Amino acid sequence: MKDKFKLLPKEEKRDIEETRKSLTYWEDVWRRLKNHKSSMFGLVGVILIVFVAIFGPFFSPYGYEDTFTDYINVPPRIDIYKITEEKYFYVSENRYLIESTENGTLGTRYNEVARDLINRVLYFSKPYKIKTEITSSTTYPAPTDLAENVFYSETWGIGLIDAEFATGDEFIDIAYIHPDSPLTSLSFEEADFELNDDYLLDNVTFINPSGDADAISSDEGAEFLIEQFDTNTKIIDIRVSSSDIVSVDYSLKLVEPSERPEGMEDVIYQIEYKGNEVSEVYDTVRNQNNFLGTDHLGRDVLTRIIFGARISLTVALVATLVNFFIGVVYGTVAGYVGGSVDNYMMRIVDIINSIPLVLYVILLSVVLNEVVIDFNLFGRHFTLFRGSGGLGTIIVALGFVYWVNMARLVRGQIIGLKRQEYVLAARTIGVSNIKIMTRHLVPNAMGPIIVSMTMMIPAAVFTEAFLSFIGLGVSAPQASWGTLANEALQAFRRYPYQLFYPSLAISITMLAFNFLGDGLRDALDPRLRQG
Amino acid sequence: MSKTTEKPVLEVRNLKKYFDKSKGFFNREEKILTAVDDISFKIYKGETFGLVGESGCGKTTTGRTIIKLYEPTGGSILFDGVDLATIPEKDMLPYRKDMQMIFQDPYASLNGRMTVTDIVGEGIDTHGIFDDEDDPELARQEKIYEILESVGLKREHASRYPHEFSGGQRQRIGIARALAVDPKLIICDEPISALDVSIQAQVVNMLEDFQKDKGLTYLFIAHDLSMVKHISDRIGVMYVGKLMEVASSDDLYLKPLHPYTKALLSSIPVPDPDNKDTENRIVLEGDVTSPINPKPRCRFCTRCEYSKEVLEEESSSNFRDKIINRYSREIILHPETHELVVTDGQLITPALADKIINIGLNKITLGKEKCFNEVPKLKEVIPDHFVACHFTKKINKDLLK
Repeated sequence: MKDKFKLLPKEEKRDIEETRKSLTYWEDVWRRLKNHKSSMFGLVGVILIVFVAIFGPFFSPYGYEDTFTDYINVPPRIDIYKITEEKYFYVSENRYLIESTENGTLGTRYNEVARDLINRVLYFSKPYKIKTEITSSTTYPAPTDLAENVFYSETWGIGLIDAEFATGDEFIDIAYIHPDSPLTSLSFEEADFELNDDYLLDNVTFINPSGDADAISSDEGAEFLIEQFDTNTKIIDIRVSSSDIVSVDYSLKLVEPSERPEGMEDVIYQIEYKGNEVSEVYDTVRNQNNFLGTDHLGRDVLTRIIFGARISLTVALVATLVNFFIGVVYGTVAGYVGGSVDNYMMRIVDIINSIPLVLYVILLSVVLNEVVIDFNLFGRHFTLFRGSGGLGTIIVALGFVYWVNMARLVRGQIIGLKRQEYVLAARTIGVSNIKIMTRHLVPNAMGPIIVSMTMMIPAAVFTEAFLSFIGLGVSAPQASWGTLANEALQAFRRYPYQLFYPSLAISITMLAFNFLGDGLRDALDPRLRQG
Repeated sequence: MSKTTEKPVLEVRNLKKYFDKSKGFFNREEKILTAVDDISFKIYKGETFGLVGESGCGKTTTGRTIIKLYEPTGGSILFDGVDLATIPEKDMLPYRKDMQMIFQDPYASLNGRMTVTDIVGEGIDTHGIFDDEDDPELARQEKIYEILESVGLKREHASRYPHEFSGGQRQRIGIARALAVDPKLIICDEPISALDVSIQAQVVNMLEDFQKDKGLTYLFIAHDLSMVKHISDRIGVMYVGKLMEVASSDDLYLKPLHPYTKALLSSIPVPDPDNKDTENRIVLEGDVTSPINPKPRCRFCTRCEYSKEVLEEESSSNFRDKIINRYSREIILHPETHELVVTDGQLITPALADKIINIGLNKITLGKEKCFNEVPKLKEVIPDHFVACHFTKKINKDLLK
């Protein structure tokens, strides 16, 4: 028994006081916070969100307002059909045919050239381009002997004669070029076409072009487009013919109502291309172009969410600043001075607080709509505030009212703290009131301030999302999570991912801040944890 | 030890501190709490003036009003001949240096977010004590080390935070903070009541040493009577905002003249289980008078055994004459409802006297008119012994001789 305990050699004896490291209050808080698992998740989440909001847009290949008209409502995961070894197709929900690779990189969108509604067949063709050159801008009158359904451009001297569609697999349109037109040739992507004596092009199909410049449309879908590159070079998009036509055979399969919600009929596509018929989905792959898909205007959802994080974080920053610089100062002064000053200051708070935030936003958006504050600095132009954008209004509204709860909380804390003996001691020493507030009162009220701030930040973010959701917040083309959710709601059943990801972003932000706030409250006031 | 020829460091004249307790916008009833009501005393250089009394009697308020933590309602606070009561808050800074305070709760009196250096150095910074030195930063640090060592702490404690110290050590930090600006007068507001007994002695001895070394003057507020007797040269006894008795500590303990002082002193526990000493203990009856809107009378009259007068019936008419227009203070039978009611300091009218006799009461306790009708003034009954009681001489006939 005796040899179980040995005397410690002298050199190993240490003074307890010497070995213990002196921890400041904040070191102690950090130590406790580190042990709090969920709050560390929250902290990491908050840091990630801030990081993404600041740097995300730099890495994003698209802007938040870039639209890809070819890829509208493309989901994050797409079903592709394999036609040949090199050719894969994706059929979008609204029955667009888009070329794809095996791993899901989207290519050209084929244009619908005809539809046979009785047999439920859609005909698609790859868009081709015709390059033309021009030297003058004379107008050319249409020749008198053209057929009835001719579309004629006076600028170019080009006429397009519409042939019958859906008669077979040949689509023949005729292009007429005015004899006086400076256009000498038309070139397709693959071949040049010579003009014959009558200035007619044979065997060329002009189909619905892509792009959004001035299109001339026929009533049957024969359209062509003229894009102007510079004063001399124009590009006419023309779709070509026969052998490249893809037809999609779709059929509606009705299933039991209990299995699928009403209106969600399962569409089975049968794709025919150069004699190959495919009706089975080859693979479901990730959309490589738009990681989280695109919205109803073909804008990248991920990019918009990242830009939305900026807006949410801006609101969070404003809420923090307002809370700290107005709320804390106001509350400290009211609490410390006390008496009738406190009474009046708190009645002002009551008045501000009695009007709901939504009302402020509505009223302010009316008042501030025309207001733009901008300035020039180092030769660059900065816009400090733009009332019409929506975000400005929310920020001003938050700035007006969001500090009142913090002011109340701080006032209560300060009233309790100012009777503490260390404050009396400071007063007997003769420390000035401002120093008492900044060195004694506010540091000691910091715990509840920080806790309530971490709880108020997600509330502000949520308020912004809510206001944007109901249409009072950020306006297009800017993307806030609330507006994204609002836009997605219209086609929520068909494209649930458009609602899911912005909502997920809101939820993660809420959770991260709330977890962090929860952990901070425990860390700042360990007594609460027992209760 | 007569001090009358010396000039006092602090002279408090008719000091009043009232708090307005009126509540509500609609409730227009005025409620004035007279925490300190017209008290006067002097403290001479190098002495310790003890201020004792039960909880809520206004000791702490007195201390805090003297140091101008509270703005006095009336009276004057003469510190070295300057009336602090008339000096506005913004001009107080030079006087703050000369008067310091040690607080009761060592846990509440130190700011947990500041290091010991910052706490002790705050006074030095505020008053710019070393601003003229070549290296004010170094001089400040040296001064802080010196003070810390003088209160029994180590140099390495300077960079620590208050929560790393025990209660006794924290109280030492509080004392170091008060000493840092080299004050002349220190108001000790129950500096030892939150400490345990062994540490109380250390702290008190330390305070006494500082007094000897630096010629400090203390206003020592406490409710521990034996400790106050030990440390004080003179003692003032307070009761509900009034000074009841002021005397040298020996005088006060040997010859208490005020009935309240007598009761207070008899309550000192005797640390001897065999000698219970309960016979000599004066147990006061009744409740402490409310300090809110007090009536103009002796604050102690409701509990004082000497303010009572027991009248017994000899003959009916005689008894009637005796009680008419006298002050009642005890419980009597209500003449109409036959219920007992308190008639606290009320005048008994002839009609009421008749009713009392008709009921058949033949013995009644009445208060003395003077006690119930007049505020006793603090008078020097014997040299350097002040008492505020109407019947001091009558009560203490033998003692005064």
